[in-house]
Amino acid sequence: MGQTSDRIEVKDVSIEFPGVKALKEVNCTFSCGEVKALIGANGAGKSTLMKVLAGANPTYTGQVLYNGTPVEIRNPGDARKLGISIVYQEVDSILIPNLSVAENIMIDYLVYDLKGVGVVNWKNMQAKAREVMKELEIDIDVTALVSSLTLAQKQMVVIGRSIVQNCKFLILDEPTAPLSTKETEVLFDLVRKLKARGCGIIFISHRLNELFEICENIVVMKDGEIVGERAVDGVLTINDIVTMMLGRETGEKLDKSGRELGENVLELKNFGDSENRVHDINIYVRRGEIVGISGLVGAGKTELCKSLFGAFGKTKGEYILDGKKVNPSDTGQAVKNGLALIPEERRKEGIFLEESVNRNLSVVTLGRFSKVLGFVNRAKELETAKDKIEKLTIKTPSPNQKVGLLSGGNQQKVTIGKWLDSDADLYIFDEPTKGIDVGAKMEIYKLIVTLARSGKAVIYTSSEQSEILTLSDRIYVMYDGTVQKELNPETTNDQEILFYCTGGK
Amino acid sequence: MNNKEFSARKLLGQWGILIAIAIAFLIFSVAAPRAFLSVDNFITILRSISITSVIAMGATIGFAAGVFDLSFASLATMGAAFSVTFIAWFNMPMPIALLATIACCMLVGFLNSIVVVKFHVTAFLATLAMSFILDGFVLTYSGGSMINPKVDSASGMKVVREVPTAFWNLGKSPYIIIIMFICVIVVELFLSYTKHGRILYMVGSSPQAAKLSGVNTGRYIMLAFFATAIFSAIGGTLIASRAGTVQATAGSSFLMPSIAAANIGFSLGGRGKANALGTFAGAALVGIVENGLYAMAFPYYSINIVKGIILMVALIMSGLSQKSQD
Repeated sequence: MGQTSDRIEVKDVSIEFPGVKALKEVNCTFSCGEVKALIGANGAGKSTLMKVLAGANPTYTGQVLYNGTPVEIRNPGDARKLGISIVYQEVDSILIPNLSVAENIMIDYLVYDLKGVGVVNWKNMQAKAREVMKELEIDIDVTALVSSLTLAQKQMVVIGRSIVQNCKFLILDEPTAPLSTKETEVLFDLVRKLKARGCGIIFISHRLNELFEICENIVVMKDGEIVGERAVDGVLTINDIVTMMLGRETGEKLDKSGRELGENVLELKNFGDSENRVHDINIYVRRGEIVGISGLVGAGKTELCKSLFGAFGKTKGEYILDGKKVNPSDTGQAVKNGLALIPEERRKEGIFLEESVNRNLSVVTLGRFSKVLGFVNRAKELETAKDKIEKLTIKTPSPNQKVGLLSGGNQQKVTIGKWLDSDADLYIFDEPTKGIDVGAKMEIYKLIVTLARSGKAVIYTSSEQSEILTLSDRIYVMYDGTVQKELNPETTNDQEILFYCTGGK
Repeated sequence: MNNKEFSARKLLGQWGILIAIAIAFLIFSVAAPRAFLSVDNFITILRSISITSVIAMGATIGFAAGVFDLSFASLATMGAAFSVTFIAWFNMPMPIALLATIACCMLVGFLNSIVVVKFHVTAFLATLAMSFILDGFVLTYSGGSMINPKVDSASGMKVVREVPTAFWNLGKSPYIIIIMFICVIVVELFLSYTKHGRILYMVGSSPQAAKLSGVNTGRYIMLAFFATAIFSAIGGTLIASRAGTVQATAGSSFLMPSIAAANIGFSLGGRGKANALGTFAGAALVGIVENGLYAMAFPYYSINIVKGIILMVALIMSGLSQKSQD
C-alpha cells in the first residue's frame, strides 16, 4: 500500500457553473496517513471540490499535483489511476443491488480482468473479497446480496471495493448522516484502520463533534473558498469552527409586520411516527406564527413534515390540531384536517412536471370545480388558475404551459398555489428555497409572510441558519430525529443554532 | 432547428395517426375499390374493431393511472364464459346474468388491486400471475373444452335455459358498433372531463406528488383495476355473443391488439398519454389496414408483419414528438 509521503495538492482550482462560481482558486493539500475534514454550509463548495478530485467535474481550471507532478483528473478513470476513491452519500448509486457483496467488491475483476470467454472463478473471487473484508475486520457475508444490506453495510462494501482498487485517498461524503450512533462508531474504527494502513482520508460532515473525534485537520469552506485550515489540537473548539463557517453576511431585510399571533393551531406531545424516524417531539405553532425548524441534512426535518401530513400512516403520541386530537392515516385525511405541504423534493413530490400550470394549480381542490357527476367546470378552473398566477406572480407564458418548463422559483410558486384555496390552516414548508436563486428566495419568503398575515400557521424547515433567523418567530432545532432545543431568534444567532444542529448540548 | 421543421415534426407527432388512417384509406380505395370502398365494408371494419376497442378502453384507463394490467384479456375470456353460461347453465335472466358477469370480473379487479396496493407487487407481474389463474379457471369451469351453450358441458353442467336472441344480437351490427361508441365516449368523458379521470392521470404521472397533494393513490389504482375489469366483462360478453361459443383462448387474441391500440393512441392531439379517442383511432388504423390488406388479397398469415410495423412506427412518431417538446 501507499507510502506515507504520497500527497495531492490542489492549486488555484476554480470551477464555474452557469451563473455561479462554485470554486474560487482553492488551494489545499491532502496527504496519505492523515484524516482531514472538509466542512462548510450547504453550497459552500465541499462536494464540488471533492468531485474535482474524483474526476466528476472535468471542467475545472487550475492544477492538481500528485507528489509534486502535475496531473490531469478529467474523468473517474484518471482519479482511479491515481488511487482516489469517493464514497458518495447515495451509496446505492454505485452498488449493484442484485449482485452479491463479493461481486460488488470485485467489480473490476468482473469487468476488466475476465479474459476470453469470461468464466467467473467464484471460489477465487469470493476468497479475495472475504480476505479484504477480514483485513478490514468487517463482518459481512460476502455471498449476501447487496440489496439485503443496511446502508451502513453498503458503505463498508464500497470502502472494501476501494481497497481492492488500491485506493490511497478515500473521500467520504457525509457518510455518517444516515447512520446510527453505533454504526458511526463502526465506521470510525474502519477509518482509523485505513489511516493506519497509510490511506489518506478526506471526511465531509456536518457533525462537528464527530470531526473532533476522528480528524487531525479541519478545512473550512465558505462560498467556494477555503476560509481556513486548523489542526484539531485540543485548543480548537466547535465555536471557532462555527465562526469560520459563517463569516459575516448581510441580507435584504424582510418585513414581517402586520401579523397577529392567535391560539394554538398545532400542538404535539411526545409525537413520533410508527417507525421512529422522528420521536419524542413537543412543539406548538400558533395562528399567524412562522415557526422555523432548523437541522442539518438527516436530522429528521422532512420526516417530521411527512409524518404530520399522514404520509407515514398513523403516528404515536398526541397530535392536536385546532384543539382536537387527530391521527391522519393517510395524506387525504391530513388535507381534510387543514394541512398543506410544500415538500422538499419539488420536482418529484410537489408538482406534476408533464401537466399544465392550470392543472397543477387545481389538483388539491378539483372537487370544488366538479359538482355534477364529477365533471370538471373547466371555465371556473381556468379562472381560478389565472387568479392564482396573478396573485403569486408566477411567470408563465400561459396557464397551459407545462410546469416542467418553468424555472425552479416559479415551480415552487405553483406548489404553493395549489394549496391557496384549500382552506388549509397549517402550511408546512420543507426546505422551500432549495435550488432556487437568491431573488426568487425573497419572493418565497414574502409569500410565506403573506400567508401568516392572513392567519395561517406556518412551519418552515431549512438547513440554512440565516434563513431560519430571517423568517422565524420561534426556532426549534432538530438533531437525530427529535427536537433538541427551542430558541428565540431575537436572542440567538446562527452560531448557537449551528451548535445545537451539530449535536451540541 | 428552424420553425418549419419543428412544426412538421409536431404535426406528424400529434396527428400522425389520423394522417396514417387517411393515407391507408386512400391507398386501399385506389388499390381495391370494389372490395374496400363500400358502406357494407365500412360496417364490417367497425364491427371488426369493436371488441378490441371496448377491451382496450379498460387498458387505456389502466395506462392512464400508470398501471399495466396484463390480465384484462384473460378476464375477457372469463367474462365471455360467464355471460353465456350464467344464462344457459344457471338459469339467470339475461340482464341479471350480464350484471353478475360484470360483478365477477370486478371481483378479480379487486383482487388485483389488493395484491398491487397492499402487497406492493408490480402490477405487470401481479396481473401476469392472475392471467394464468384466470386461464386455468376458465378451462376448469368449462371442463377443459369449448363452451357451447346449446349442449351440456364437459364439466357436467346441464343446459337449463335457452340463450335469448337478444344476447346474440349484441354481437351483431349495429348493436355491437353502438356499444363500442358508447364505451369510447364514456371513457373519453370520464378521463378528460371528470375529477376522477383527472386524478387518475395525476397518479399515473407522479404517484408521490399525487400522494403529497392529499390523493389516496391506492384507491385510484383500485379504481383503474375496476374500470379495466368492467370493460373486460363487456368485451367478453361481446366475444361470446359474436362467436356463439367460447374458446378457452377467446380473450387472449385481443391482448396485443388492445395494448397496441392504446399505445398508438398516446400521441393523438399531443396528449402524450393514454386516452380514449386515441385508442379508438389506434384500433381503427389497425382495423382499416387489416381489412384493406384482405381486400387486396394479401396473404392473411403475413398481416401481423404489417400490424407490427404500424405499432413500431407509431411508437417512433410519439417518441419524436416528445423529443420536439424538450
